[in-house]
Amino acid sequence: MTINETKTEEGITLSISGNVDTNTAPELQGKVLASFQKSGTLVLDMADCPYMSSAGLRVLLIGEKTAKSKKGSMKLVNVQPAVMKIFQVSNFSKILTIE
Amino acid sequence: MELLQMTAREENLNTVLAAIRRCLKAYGCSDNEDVVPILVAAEEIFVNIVHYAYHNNKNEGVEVKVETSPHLCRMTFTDRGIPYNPLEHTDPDLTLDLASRPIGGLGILMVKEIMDYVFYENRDGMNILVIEKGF
Repeated sequence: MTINETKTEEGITLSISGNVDTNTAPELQGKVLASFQKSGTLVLDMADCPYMSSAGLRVLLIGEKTAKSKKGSMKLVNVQPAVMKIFQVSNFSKILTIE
Repeated sequence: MELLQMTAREENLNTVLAAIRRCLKAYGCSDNEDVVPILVAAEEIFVNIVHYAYHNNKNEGVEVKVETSPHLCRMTFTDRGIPYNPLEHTDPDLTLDLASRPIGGLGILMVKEIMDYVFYENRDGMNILVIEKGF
């Protein structure tokens, strides 16, 4: 998995490329929390993320809670259908902001 | 069928997932929407064994058997660790709002939601967990 960070007018976009699993989720968590240190608005571009296990969901939950505590926002874009299925199974589709 | 015998280490996760992918592909199941949920369920079980079965002792073993037939995938996970029936695990409440949701505890519930059949037994000192899903 690789994560590419882009600064935009809105805030920070992290483009995730590869699988978010038990082994790679800690790196994503570090990037998400570091981004919220710099900006209150975070976009996660999931176009190249074909796989996410509960380790990744845990990171998204931490991100969403951090966003709320900072009165910021976290938004997911370009979520692939297979990953959306995991969001639906876990009911995360109801608590995440997905466009 | 693939039979994997390995040490209970996180770094072996990719070997397990690759074997499942191969077995599914052999029966024409390669669409990510079908494959990913099965892999996610397998990851939850494997990582649970790695983290909890042996108190993180990385030299203990785990066996994963992957069997596929037309339209069915069965995976059997066997370890000699602490007896643990994941089906007795209390499920987290998926209807809670963001603020109330605990971080973690989702894995086993996802296995039960994703798979069609989950069976556990402790036999001869071994935890044996069988999960199946049609495709």
